[in-house]
Amino acid sequence: MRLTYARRSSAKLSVPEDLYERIGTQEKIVQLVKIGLLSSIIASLEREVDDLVERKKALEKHIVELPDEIERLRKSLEELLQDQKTLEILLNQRR
Amino acid sequence: MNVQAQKVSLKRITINESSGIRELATKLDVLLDAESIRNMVELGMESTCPEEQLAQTVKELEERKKRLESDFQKVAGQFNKLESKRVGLRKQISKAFAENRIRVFHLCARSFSSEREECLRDDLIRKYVAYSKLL
Repeated sequence: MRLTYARRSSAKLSVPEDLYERIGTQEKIVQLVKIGLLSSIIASLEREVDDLVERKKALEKHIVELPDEIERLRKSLEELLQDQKTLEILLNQRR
Repeated sequence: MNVQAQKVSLKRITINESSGIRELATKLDVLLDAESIRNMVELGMESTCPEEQLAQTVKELEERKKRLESDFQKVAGQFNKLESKRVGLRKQISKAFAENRIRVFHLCARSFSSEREECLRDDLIRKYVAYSKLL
């Protein structure tokens, strides 16, 4: 158990040798990788947040427009139902 | 051509689990191979912010995203409610229009004694047959 834990508590990274030589130390590489990862996560989160803001705005725009559209449809339906009554009266009249 | 000579020489370095690198790579859904390590190091070198500040920004953005997702769900709920009302009305209208149109076809063959009823019939024929693009 202890061995397994010890093995899991560390991991290996394969770093290009030229890069290792340029940076100099293992600690500096680990730190730069971490900063790079954090920067990428920030960029990705910013994109996701922007996307959510845009999608929410689009939905809010529809929400503002829909009540008018629903009202217009309701009036059309009322008119159709009124016509239905008229048509039934006319059709039920004796020839 | 010597294929082996093109391969990049690699140096294996040990990272401690507590460094958090593995968790960050998982969060970003990237495999930390030699190429992505090179990219991350380049990005790290370009960054002007310290690690702690970046970590704080990640935390704030995650919280903002969570709040936005919750707001979005509420707005989406309102939208779905209105949209299903609109779709329901549309269906009712299509059905009512189609049924009225059939009634009007039956009415075409009928004649009426009063002029008012004749006019009414003609209006309905115009509305449902001649100009059937009411909606």
